[in-house]
Amino acid sequence: MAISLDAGVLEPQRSRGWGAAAAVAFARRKPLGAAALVILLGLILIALFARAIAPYDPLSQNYDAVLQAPGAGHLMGTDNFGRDELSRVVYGARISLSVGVVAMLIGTVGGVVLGLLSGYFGGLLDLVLQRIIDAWIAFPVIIFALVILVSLGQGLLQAMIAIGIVGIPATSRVVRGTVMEKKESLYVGAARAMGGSHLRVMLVHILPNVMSTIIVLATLTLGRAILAEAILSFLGVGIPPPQPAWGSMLGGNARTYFLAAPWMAIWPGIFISLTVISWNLLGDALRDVLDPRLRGV
Amino acid sequence: MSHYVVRRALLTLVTLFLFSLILFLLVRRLPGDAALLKSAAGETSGPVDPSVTVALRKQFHLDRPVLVQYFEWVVSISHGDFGRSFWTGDRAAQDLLTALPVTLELVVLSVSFSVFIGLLVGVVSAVQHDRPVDHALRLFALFGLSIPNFWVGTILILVPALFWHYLPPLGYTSILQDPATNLRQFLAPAAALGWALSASIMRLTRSEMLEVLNQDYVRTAWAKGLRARSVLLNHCLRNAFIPVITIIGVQVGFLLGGTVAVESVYGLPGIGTLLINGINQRDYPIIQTGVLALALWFILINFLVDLAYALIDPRIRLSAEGAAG
Repeated sequence: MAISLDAGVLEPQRSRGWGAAAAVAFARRKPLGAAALVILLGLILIALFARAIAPYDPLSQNYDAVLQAPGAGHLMGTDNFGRDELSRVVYGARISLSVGVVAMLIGTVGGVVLGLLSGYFGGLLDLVLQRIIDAWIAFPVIIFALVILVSLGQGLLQAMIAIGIVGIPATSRVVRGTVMEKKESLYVGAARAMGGSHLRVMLVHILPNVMSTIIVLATLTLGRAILAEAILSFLGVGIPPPQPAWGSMLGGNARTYFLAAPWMAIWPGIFISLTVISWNLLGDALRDVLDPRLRGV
Repeated sequence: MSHYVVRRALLTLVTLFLFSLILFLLVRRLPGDAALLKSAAGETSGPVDPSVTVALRKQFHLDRPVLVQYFEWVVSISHGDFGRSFWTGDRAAQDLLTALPVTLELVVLSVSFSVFIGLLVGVVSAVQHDRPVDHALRLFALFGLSIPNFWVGTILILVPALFWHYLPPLGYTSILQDPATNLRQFLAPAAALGWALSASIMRLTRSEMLEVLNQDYVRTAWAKGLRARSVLLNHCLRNAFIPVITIIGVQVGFLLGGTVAVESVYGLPGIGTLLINGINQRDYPIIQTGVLALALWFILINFLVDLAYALIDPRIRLSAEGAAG
């Protein structure tokens, strides 16, 4: 008699609906989260179609139109080089979102791999990995990112890597905790008993069950990454000028013109804030829906 | 318990060793070194004299293998010598002690600000649970978390300047020298930092208060006819406050390295400014001493928090001892 067994039946049911119905349900339950999602989609579209949306080249200087107040010709005014603020803010969305997304991917993938290994195997590996994570976390975030960034040399890719590396330990800590908890579940024992390899158990049985935790963490990490990029660029070590990063538009020499041209200080700040607020609102809403235990992370 | 303390202390030492090694190697990976920058800065024009660079490298021991340099560094630290700045020749520890009061004052003020705002908003939010006020206050906290503190700082300078022609005195005056000016210099940056910090305190206070508000002894207090203030402050907040203390500890640790951008906006010569300058000038002793001090502080706080938890909750130390044995 053949006995067919599937360890999967022991796993908790996961909702598989991500279609229109799920979206409507989400919007009903979390209107703020849904609004944030709409704003983020708008920002992503702006970033993707920056060339079509921006009325001017974000880098072209025009000394006949220096420090112009917002008006018909330049909706958001111009900066001290006569560059169009609107065009720079629009192109800035590209930098901000791309650094945020790639840094988030580095931080999340790195954090999940370390957390999974540490939590699943435990023992000596866990002890060693956790000491490294301890040392890693002890670095003050911005200073650490700054040192890595300077040692790699300034640039877009370098900023992504530096901010990504800084995000790894926090994610790994939370994932480790969740994995340690799931490891004790019946379905993991069953999968092992049926001869599933460690790798298979980790990837096929545990990973999908910590996915909701990972999604929530990733959203919050993204907001922090965008904030970190803004701070580094503001300090003049992030994205090198003349690239229109929102942070660098608020730092360096531009500061001397803020009193004469306050719009230079307003727009980039509003866009950074709007972006980070939206990611955090979305993260909060996802957390409430997917994984309420993560409150306070 | 003593077994647990020893184990934790040993692990902390391992962490510290790993940290110092990573830090040292990372700092030496910075492109270009102080000798090169300094010999270039010495010349008014023309190419750098390579022999000057070589001599400087020798003077700073930069010509030795990195691991030898690390070993020398650790040995000199154990003698209480943290090295001298490559640029000014000052003792790195002295530079750090000069910058410390600035950052410390900023930290104390912004944490006080965040505790005040966080507790107030948290309690009101919990009492008004799920009403419009609660939603508005939670949004206020989330904004604080999301809006970059250096931008808040910029706006706090810009708005009074544009509307009331008031510019705060930027820079730093010691509180001993001129308390009034000192306060005017620190108020805005402390508020900018404090808003961001208040968010986590507010969230925690709110959830703790929500839990406490449903307890029997609170219902009894209401039933006895006590005034709202007495019930909320003496019965609720006192019990909700314990986890909040932990968060405050964490924040103080985090803030010491997190004030960089705000210090830069307000021209405050604190630890953040010291480190930025050190990194730009490749002043290894300054970077190493500064970052090590921040990490020591952070690790120490974590150690104390862990011990406090273990004291309060026997399960933690028992499970740790089980794992060790």
